[in-house]
Amino acid sequence: MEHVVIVALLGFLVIIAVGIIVLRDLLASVILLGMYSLTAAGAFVVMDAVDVAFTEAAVGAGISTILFLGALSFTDGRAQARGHDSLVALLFVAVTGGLLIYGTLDMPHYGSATSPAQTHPELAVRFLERSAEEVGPPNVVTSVLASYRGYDTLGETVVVFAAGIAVLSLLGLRRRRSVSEPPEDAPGDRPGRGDDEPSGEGSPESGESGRGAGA
Amino acid sequence: MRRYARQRHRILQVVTKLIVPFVLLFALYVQFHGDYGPGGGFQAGVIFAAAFILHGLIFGLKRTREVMPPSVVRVLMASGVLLYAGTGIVTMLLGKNLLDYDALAHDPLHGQHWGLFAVELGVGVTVTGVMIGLFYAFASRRDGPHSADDAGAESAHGESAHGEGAARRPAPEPEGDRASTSDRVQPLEDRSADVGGAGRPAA
Repeated sequence: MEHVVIVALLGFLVIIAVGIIVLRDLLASVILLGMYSLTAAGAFVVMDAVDVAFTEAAVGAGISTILFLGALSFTDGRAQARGHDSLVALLFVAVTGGLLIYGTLDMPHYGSATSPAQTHPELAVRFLERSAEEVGPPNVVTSVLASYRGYDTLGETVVVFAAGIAVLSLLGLRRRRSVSEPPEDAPGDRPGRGDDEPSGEGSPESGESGRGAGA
Repeated sequence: MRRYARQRHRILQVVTKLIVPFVLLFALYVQFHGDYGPGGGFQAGVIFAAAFILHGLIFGLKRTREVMPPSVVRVLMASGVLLYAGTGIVTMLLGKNLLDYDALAHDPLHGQHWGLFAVELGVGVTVTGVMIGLFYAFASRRDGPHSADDAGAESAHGESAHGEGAARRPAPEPEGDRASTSDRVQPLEDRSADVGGAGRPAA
């Protein structure tokens, strides 16, 4: 029964993915992306990977959709039809996909009790047997994530931080050096805005830049 | 126009006001209950940020920025990483390896507990900051076809909810509308202006 549910969910994933590719309406594509993440989260739940499902639902279905919608508001919402579909590209994709599928043939079957991840004495066995006395929390995922693999998670956090810094330096700080400021930041406009809108138009950089322009 | 917009969004505003505290509480639950159930810093940070993003979508970025200023967001981004790495440094100073939480207390299990608490909190804080920062960055761009600060609101309401983007509405005359919007006697009216993107001249 569980397999039926998983296969059905994975089938939905394929259908949604095809829909995302086929659709030219970007808003519909974004909605489908959210559906994709939610379906994947459902599949993860069925596979007992609750933490992963939680992350997928929160990040993939939640935040990503919002960010895509925000990005969508800068476009006209339609993907441009491509002029040609290259046969070479199709061949390349087919070969790559075939190789990947071929590679999965070596992997242990789903849920196999004899897979190396299950039987290796230093991996799952050790974590499941020893984590309670070594780390403590009943949720072994947390133990592995934050203690056994704390160094990895530190790296992940730094990656998230770096990604945020990158986006902020590309988008968030942009208005500081922007030449074509909109007219609201013109000096003559400042007093009224200063009185009425204490928060300013945007982030503090913009306020500073506006003040700098005014002075 | 604005009056109509305000009435149209009132249900969303009221519901949002009801939901946001629970979302925040749930995020804290996920954060601090991650040792015992599914959850942890990443998920909690995203959920915490989602509450602010929801607020920004419904009430406009200006209101959300008053609650969570971008400077605070940047501090959050950095302080989470600092908390995490600082925990590692502290364990080193206490004579153990980097991120070996056994050093944090006399009983190794207690030390592990404190360590997990600290690093998960660090992850959550950083993820919260980055997610809100990303939302601010995307939603406050000015040079898009829409009016800037309410890009998120426009996309959410204009396109999905009502099928009528704010950019497709006639852009209000900047000065007059700003003057009428700017006196904040009635907060709701101000918010509705934010939501509809009417209080701002199209960029």
